[in-house]
Amino acid sequence: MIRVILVEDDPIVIERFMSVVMPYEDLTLVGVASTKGQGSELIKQGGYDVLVCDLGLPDGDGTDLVRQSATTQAHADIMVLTMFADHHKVLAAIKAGARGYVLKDQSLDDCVGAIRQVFAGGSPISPIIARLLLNELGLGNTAVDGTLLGQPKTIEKKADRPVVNNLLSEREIEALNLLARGFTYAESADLLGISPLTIGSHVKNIYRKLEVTSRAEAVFEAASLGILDTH
Amino acid sequence: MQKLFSRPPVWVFWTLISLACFAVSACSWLEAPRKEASGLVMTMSRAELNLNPARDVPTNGWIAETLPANGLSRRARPSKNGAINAWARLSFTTAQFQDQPIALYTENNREGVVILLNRTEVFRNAPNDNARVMGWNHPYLVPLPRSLLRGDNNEIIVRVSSRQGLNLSIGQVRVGPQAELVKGYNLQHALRISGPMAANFTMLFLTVAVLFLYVLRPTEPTLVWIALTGVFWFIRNFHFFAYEAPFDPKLFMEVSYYAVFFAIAASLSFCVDFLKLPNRKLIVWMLFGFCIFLSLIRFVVVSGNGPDGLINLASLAIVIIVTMLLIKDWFRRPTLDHGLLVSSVLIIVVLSIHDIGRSTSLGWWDGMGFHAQPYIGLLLFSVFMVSIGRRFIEALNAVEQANHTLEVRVASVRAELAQSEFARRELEVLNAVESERERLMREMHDGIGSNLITALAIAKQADESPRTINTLKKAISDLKITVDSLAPVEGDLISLLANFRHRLEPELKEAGLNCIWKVQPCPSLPWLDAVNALQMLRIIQEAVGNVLVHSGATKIEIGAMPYMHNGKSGVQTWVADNGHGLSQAAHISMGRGFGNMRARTLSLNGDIQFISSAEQGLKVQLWLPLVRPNTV
Repeated sequence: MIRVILVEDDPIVIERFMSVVMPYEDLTLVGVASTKGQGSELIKQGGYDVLVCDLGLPDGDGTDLVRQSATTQAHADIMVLTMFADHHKVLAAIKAGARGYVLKDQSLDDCVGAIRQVFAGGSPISPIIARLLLNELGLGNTAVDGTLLGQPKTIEKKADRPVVNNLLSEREIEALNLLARGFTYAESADLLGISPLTIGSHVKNIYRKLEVTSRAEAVFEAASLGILDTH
Repeated sequence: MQKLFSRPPVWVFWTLISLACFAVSACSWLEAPRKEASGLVMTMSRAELNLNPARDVPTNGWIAETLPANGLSRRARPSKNGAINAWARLSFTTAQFQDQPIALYTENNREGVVILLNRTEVFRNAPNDNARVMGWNHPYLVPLPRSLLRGDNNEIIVRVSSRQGLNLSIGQVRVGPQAELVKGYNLQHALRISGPMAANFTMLFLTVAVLFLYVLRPTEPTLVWIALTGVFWFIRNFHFFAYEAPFDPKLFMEVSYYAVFFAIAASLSFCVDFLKLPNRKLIVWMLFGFCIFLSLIRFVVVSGNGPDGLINLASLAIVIIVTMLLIKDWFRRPTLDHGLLVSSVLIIVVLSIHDIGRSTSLGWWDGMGFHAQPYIGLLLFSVFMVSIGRRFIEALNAVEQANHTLEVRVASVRAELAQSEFARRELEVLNAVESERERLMREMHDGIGSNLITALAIAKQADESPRTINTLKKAISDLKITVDSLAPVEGDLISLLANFRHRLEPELKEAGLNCIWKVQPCPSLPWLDAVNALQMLRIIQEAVGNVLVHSGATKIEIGAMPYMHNGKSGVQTWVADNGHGLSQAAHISMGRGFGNMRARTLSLNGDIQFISSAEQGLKVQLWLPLVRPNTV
């Protein structure tokens, strides 16, 4: 049984979400909040496996809730609800600890699959987000011409970004490059000779590493600025 | 030049050889005027001498001796207190001169000179015996009036007078045609009097200039040594060309003698200090210590009427020792400064040996016929000035070089700053654009997008007509494309296509279309900004829309690859289906859409092809250039 909590301010979306999730026996909606404040209380209480959180809440940014959940309920997976998967918002949420996203415009039936996928250890990703991730991790190219199987790598590092490519495994980089070039999970898996689930797992791992790196950078920056007492 | 002086042994050798050659040639050259071509000039090597202290010509007591007669003071002193004098009587005949004007040439007489021809005074260099006249180094040419001459036997009497404590000597006397003697006289006067006078006053003037420089830069000790060199050598050399002593002649001569020790000490101190020899302070102290020591020794020796020749040799020995130290240092650090200074000191050593050898106390040789010492000061002074000037020029060059380097650095830093400023401004613009883009995206996402999604949800709930629902879906789809076109992909067409495919996937799935994705690594298109990206995506959207609506296909292929079109590099992207191709009817219904696609392609400077067949379906091929003409 996957225990889900939802933080969303739009009653129509809440209603649709509930109608979609309720019929499935392996999913149960254990809490709903429509503001950031309520969502924060819900997270404090815990007792959930997946948090589905809207980012544009009336009393604040949903990213804070994502961060709160990632910090205090580390075992739980987090998915953000987004209108069109706005790249920057999704990336910010991933850095805060999200492991996937659900598009509001699609049939919310799909979100059941997404919740199951993230719970099972996989994560969705769009090509542009994959590209932004590559840039973020210092693996960005002027054109996404990353490694194809059997072809030499032509990755051009950006000088002004930290080189953290040693953070990712060879396979993860290959998967990320393929996804950034528009290949689906199944196609990427086929090209790499692995299962689509493993691709999802790679993506989730990449999200996790990005979150850890971002947190470490935030700590470093805070220490550099004297905000954080490191002693 | 620096390289030449980097081999000291070679240059020491060649300097000495050159000096020897110079000395030999100079002696022969200077001797030439004394050996007049006509053979009429008579050199009076024999004379009758008389040391009678009387002021009138003695009548007896004449003794035949040779000329020049030096060291007469020792013989004359006992006979008179105060001024001392000596007489020389010579005779000659005039028959061989015929009607030529006849003159007498004499030199090296100490100090006052009176010349009588047949008992009539024809020349004197001092008004009386008490005058402070300095005649020892002056050559004299005395025309002998024909009215006083007698044909067969003419008597010349030379009277020299000096003071107690000073030397008394009668020099060389020659009689001959005036026209011939005047040449030698002019040369000797130039070398003994005019030359030293010009050299030493020049040096004195330069010394004043150096002192002025020292006032401006008191931290430069070498300027002190140069100034002292000038001052001491001037004091030393003044007696060579002075007509009269400026004060008591004996004291004046003593000052001149002692000054040479200090002049040597100052000169060598400059060399030692300028070349920064090891233990240079100790060497300088020792030099001045020796100079005081030699002065005391000389005072004692001269007070006892002893000869001072050995003391001169001792001072020469000190010069040689210091020269050896300089040469040793030259071997250790072969520099041009070492070469110049060592060469000049070696020249001084040779010239000093020359002068000591022809001094009256030793009288080993006559050498060049004049003392070289009056020129030593200026020579040293000049070399010192050249050395310090060279160092000054090197310093100026170094400063210029440093300034140049600094200017280059400043220019480089300025360029960097300008670049940095340019980059900063560019970044500001980019940030402004990015922030505006984000604002627009947020607006579209949270505002229009949110409302459209809600409207779609309501329409679905209310079971509105499919047309309404499809219109809302199309609006949402358009908005998504607009949002994606604003994504910062830096001209990466593949990313845009990929995201388009990602967005489209549920729709294709719903339509039962299998998507074949065929993209190859492509170069980025620098001109593909948000506006152009939207145009490109709209073309693809139109093509895919046609497949969804009109083709009846089960398969759609989307691809991209680098492609040359009309010899131009670019990227070709395509959307192909396995539908029934483009029928006449479909062509008419899709005409407006194709027109739009062509117009959009034209605005991108690209090319679009519609390839249709009933068997293979429709393929829309879009080629985009790597560089647009208006972006070059």
